[in-house]
Amino acid sequence: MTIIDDLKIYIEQYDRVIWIENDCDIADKLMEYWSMIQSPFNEKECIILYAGKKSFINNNICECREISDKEKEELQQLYYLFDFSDKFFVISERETHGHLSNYLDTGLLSMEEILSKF
Amino acid sequence: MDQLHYEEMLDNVLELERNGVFCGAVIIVFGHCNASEELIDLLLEKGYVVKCLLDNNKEKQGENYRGVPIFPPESILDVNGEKTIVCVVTRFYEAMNLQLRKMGFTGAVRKLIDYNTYAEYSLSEETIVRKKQRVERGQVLLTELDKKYPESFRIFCPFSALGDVYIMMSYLPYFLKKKDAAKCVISVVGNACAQVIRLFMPSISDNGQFASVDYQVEVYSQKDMDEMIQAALYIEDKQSFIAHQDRPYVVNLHKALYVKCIPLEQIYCCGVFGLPLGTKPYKPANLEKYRDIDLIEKGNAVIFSPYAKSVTTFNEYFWKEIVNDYLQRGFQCLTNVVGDEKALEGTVPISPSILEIQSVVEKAGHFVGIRSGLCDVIRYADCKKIALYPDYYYSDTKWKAIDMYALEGWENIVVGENFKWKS
Repeated sequence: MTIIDDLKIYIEQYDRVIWIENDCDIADKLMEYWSMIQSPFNEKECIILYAGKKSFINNNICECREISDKEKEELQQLYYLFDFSDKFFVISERETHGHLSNYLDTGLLSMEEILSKF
Repeated sequence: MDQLHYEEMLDNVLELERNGVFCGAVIIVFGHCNASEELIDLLLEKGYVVKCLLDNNKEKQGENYRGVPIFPPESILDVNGEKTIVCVVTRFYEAMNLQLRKMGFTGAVRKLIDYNTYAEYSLSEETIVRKKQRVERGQVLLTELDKKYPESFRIFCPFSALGDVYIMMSYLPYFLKKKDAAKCVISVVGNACAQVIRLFMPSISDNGQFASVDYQVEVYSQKDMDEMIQAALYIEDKQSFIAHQDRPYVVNLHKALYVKCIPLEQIYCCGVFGLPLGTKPYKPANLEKYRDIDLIEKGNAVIFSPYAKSVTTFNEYFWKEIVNDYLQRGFQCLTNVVGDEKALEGTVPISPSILEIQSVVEKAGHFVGIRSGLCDVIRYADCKKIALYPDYYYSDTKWKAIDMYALEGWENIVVGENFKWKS
């Protein structure tokens, strides 16, 4: 099974597949926020994919899966190849375009405001 | 809708007609926007009955366009079956198709304009191979651009919208300074957008601290632009930046609008470029005088601008009342037209370039137009300016067009159901 095979299943099974592409402030804060509000997701509503150790995995936000570096690379290649699903959400701060976190940095939105509707 | 997209839509409608798809079919349009209104106009003109418009935005449901009611998508199940055809002319075809299928809709869903080449909701091997080929084509274009403009920072404007490009340019110099870029090439779709870039060039190049930046413009087709942007994303090109507020799919700035109303100008300043709120926008300086400026009566003329590409427009009866009012008051009445657009009845057509339009409205003294990108182009013109806003919701948000696009120093008027023109 490749990550693409897994993705096909996740997209079928879950309403949202969230991928945390890289370590960034907004990802950490989002996980902290979701764990504080006792998870905004119902069972089987969402799965989070991430690479590397993350502190939020014990917080019962929703189903979480650690992916390998190789899978992360495959996922990156796929996501930036085309828009394959409206259920696939990415938390990332790449420099090629503007990000929600810019609103935080510029004071236009508070972290609470962003997190509440992410 | 621009001419190319209209022709694409028309070709697809004609093909469906040739194949007999519309014959005896229940015709439904999904997504209420300027393009879907033009599709309905076309279908009604051809004598078809459009049963309804579907839209997810609850604020739009219950309204109608030319007697075609706007219903929630679930209502499709009342006419489910092989004889029902749903036509889509928005960039959300893939999501709409999936939504209808999940509801159990079994009829045809047809994309009549390919507004979004980034999306294809499939993970089949065939799709992935095709998308890889698309990225390879984009990489070739990126390499060519790099060879033509070596060591230049690349700015991409993914969509042909004058207003977006105008606002982007107002803040770009600050962003380039952050990036320490001495050279920059800005890629746009279409010559009109290139002219908007050129509007700013002297002010950017000649302005004190940014004098050393060398700006260039390149014009691409939508297809080439999409492929280049996809390639830049795929290879994570650090020398490229996509300067847009909601395109392509990786840009998530619009999500903030579910929480708070952020005017377009602030979305660009803070969201796209990460600049502090209150950053002073650059103004265009490369203005030219219209070649036939002497034909315009100084201070006693009005320039009408009734056309917009991505906004639902007003009908001819609406404009007739306004034109008549100005005619009765002795004004010289002119309509700004592009390509095969028609002048409003009782007015003279005029086609100044983007660089010239400010000189025209300033000489005329009066401008009345639907809120479109052209209003951005003349936003600082020294004359009486009236922007008319159709009473619609911005995208799938609860904000109205005027909340997003209101212009400082203008008379901003919402055209609602009971609108009455007052001179």
